Amino acid sequence: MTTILDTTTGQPATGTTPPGVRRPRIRLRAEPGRSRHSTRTKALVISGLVLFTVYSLAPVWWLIVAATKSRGELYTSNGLWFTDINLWNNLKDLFTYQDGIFLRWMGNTLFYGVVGTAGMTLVCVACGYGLAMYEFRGRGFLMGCIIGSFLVPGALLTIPSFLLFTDLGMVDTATAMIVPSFFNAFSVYLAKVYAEGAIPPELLEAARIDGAGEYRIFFQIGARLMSTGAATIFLLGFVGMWNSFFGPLVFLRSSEKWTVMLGLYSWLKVKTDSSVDLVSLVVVGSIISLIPMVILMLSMQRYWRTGVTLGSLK
Amino acid sequence: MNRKQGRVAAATAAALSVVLAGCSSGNNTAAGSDGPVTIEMWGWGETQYTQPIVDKFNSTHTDIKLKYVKQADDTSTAANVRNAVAAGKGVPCLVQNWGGAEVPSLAAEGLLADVTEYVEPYVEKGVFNKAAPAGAQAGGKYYGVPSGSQPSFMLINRAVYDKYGVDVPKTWDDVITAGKTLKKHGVYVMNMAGEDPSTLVGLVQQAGGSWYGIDGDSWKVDFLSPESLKAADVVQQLVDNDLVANQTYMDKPALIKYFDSGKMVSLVTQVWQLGAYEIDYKKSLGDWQAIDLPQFSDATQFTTMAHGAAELIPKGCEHLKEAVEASVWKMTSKDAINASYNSQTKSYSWPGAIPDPSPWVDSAVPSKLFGTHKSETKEVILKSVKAGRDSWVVGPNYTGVFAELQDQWAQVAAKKITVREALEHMQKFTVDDLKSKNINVES
Amino acid sequence: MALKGASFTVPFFLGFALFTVTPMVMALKQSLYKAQSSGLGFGGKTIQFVGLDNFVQGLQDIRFWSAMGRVALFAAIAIPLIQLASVGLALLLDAASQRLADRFRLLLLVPFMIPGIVAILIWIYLYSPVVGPLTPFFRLFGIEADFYSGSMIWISIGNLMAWSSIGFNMLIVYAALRAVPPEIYDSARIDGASEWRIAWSIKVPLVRRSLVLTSVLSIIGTLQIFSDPMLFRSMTPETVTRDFTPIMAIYDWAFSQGEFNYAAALSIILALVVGTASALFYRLTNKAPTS
Repeated sequence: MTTILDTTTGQPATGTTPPGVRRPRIRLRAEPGRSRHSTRTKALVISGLVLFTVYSLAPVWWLIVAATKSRGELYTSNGLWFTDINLWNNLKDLFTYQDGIFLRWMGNTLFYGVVGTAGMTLVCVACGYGLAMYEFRGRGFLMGCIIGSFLVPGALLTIPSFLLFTDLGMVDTATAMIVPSFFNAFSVYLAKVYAEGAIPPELLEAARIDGAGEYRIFFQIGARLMSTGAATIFLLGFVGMWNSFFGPLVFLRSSEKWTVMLGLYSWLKVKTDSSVDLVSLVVVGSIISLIPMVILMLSMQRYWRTGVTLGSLK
Repeated sequence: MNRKQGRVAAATAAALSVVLAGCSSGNNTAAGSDGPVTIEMWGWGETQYTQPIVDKFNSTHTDIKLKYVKQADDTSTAANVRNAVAAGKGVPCLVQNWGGAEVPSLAAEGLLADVTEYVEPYVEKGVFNKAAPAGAQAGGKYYGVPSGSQPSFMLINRAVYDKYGVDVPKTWDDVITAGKTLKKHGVYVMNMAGEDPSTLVGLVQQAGGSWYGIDGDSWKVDFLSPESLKAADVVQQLVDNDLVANQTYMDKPALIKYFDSGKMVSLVTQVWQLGAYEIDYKKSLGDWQAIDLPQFSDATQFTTMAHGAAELIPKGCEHLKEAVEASVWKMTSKDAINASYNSQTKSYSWPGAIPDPSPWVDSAVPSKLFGTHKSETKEVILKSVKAGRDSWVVGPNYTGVFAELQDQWAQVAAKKITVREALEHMQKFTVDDLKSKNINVES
Repeated sequence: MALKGASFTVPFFLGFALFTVTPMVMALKQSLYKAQSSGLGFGGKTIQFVGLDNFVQGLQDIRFWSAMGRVALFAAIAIPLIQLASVGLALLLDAASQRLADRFRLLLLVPFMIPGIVAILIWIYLYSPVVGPLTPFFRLFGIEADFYSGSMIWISIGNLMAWSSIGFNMLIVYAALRAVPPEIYDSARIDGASEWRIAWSIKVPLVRRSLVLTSVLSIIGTLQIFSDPMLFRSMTPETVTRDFTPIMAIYDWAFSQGEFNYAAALSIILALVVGTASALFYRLTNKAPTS
């Protein structure tokens, strides 16, 4: 499969691809094939997609409606339609609660997410590149370690990791969130298969003949060819960091350092054992917390248009 | 051992971690030996309501400073304390008692510090009420500071009771009779959440029973005592006749809506919940009435359950004396109780540890919930405080036993097994579990 | 050159050794010990080396293994269904025009972006028989659906899993489809094959490798399922017991009972089972994970 991959993955496709065309270079041949889609097939395709989209999005509708309600209405009115529009008050409450701690959580998460994921992408792409492009002793063993680590239940590592972090003086520091996230086995696996798909060995060979050093080849050729894959790794990593909850719960102490998900969780749990009830804040906070993700996804769209990205996975 | 293991691991790790050397910042904020001692306090209460108490303490004390570190919730507090004690570093000195955990089982797990010598003088001085100290003890020693208990009473939707001409219940038999009448109108007399066996536990406590007892150097386990069976009988009748709803506490919107709807009309409650009912109820506001906790029909004197809890002091805390002092201040001083005022519910944290909580009762009664019955509430609360008894002894494996009980209780609530079958199972489970842990138990 | 090549992997494997292997070794060691009390149980615990006792106990732990069986059965039914839906969705997307596909793809990925905690908040509401909209919705069709009842529990969990994972699986399969040069289909079209036939006979076999990957990830994820059943625990505690799934049992031992040694042994057993299941699946689909 890797042999038939388009190797010009580095660049996004030209912006104005007419609808109904798979790829510019085969425009003439593809079009007659496409046009054979009967209207019935087309209608079926679209209604199928609409059905799946409704399934995906309908649950979010409740969240949006709930965000506009006051606490009393939230519990007693119909959840699927608006009653009193209390959105501004909810937003104001959200951003002023406890001196605006929610913004602080958003900031923390962004910081941990960007720094942690950027570092992770660099470390893991380099590692995947090394594993894919070079033959060396122990390579199979290292690959085995990576695959094997997928199988380890996280529950097993919690307490030992805590003891380790304590001895390293990392508990309750940003380091505990950022540094361990650099070493993501799944990302290495992805990077390896990307590298195999995106970098023709002949290209490296040619560069070597030109006298380029191995590190220079990586930064000037390898990294560039892998940029789409790296972007995907970054995206998946960032989604993971943004949603991370268990790590912060165990390794962070003071609420000023929490991530947004941990904060929302604590607000959600407040109600079960006290008279305070912050569910309306949780609902609004959930929506606000999605904004950075949506922005990221939108900005990643152009990388996906090239078609290859995750396609080379095997 | 954990400690040593961690060190070995760190040594191996250190060899590998050159690359990280710059990252792990040393944050050994060693406290000066002659400055004030800082007591770190963990809990999951919202900072805005806890901080005023901390501030009040810090402004009235010079040699001890309190620092509040908020945790996400009770389960994460439990996990974090276990981790910190295992690591032996960064151990807090005061920890809020989390749900389902009792001092004896935590002490047996090796999580708590023995603070008997510091707590006993306060107990002798009489700063606590009589029922409070038992909840902080295990095997005759103190492992925390008594925080007492909340007075229990019953809340009924009087409007619905009156509508169907049902008498206000005085005994549990009355509750069952009322339930049978109400059922004809599609109304449940009580709610028993499938995840929460507290109805059963509360009844056993009210009957004066206990599932554990100590006999010399051995535990005596008795889930089938007369008191326990008496409680079981009440629960069984409620379940068998379909008199109770099974709304979970996790689905709060559904629960509130349900309670508010008038379809469930009585619940055993405690002071702290009143404020939330006041805020959340709409339709039934003003219909409720606080009444004395129903009694067993053969009871000789009016009794409520008052099993106390404690603020925990974990093993590894470096300032036991100061921790106890700060905690006792929190539980018993007028300053601390006054500082606990919650502006949203307009009430104070219930001072469950002190002999006379009457100065704070008025604020505990919300203004709209009870309508015309408001004035009676204060009497009901104070009567419950006076009648509080604590016969409840907790064993060293209660954490696991409680989890098992929850599972059994769920089967009972779903009518899959009887209460007696659940108790028989618990008897065997508890004894076997103690034996497997090499703890002495009489069979 | 090989040495320089290997040096690319050094930063990762240093960190991996520190943050994954070290804790693993510590856990492995802990699984060989046991904490014992004495007397009334308050005198502190002594920790003894017990060899493989915890593993022997774990292999005979009926509740742990029935949890395993329960989840394995669920995985055997749910994973193929979810994979099927993901492939179907990817094929639909592939059949649509590029611009339409781009729009829909983003919308279909929304559940993947929703954090687990928020998803739980949403579904607690939707499933609620009292305030949620789904029960009355199904009643319109004469179906009495109580999503929290014991008989519905796996359907409810499966739906939640499907909702949050179909988008991601679809993304991988769709990307694989896009990587296939369209020329391959053209000859089939000239031969007069229908679009349906092309989809099943040509497209699906071409994305088989991607399917193997998403399936294995699903197997690993499902056998370690934890937060979804936890959501339902409070709703139907009589069905979802504290040891309903293997990970729930492990958490219960480690964090509510403080028996970390035994929990460590159970985790290792679980890892072995998950590993065996994944390896078997690879063997069956005739594709080795390492290359």
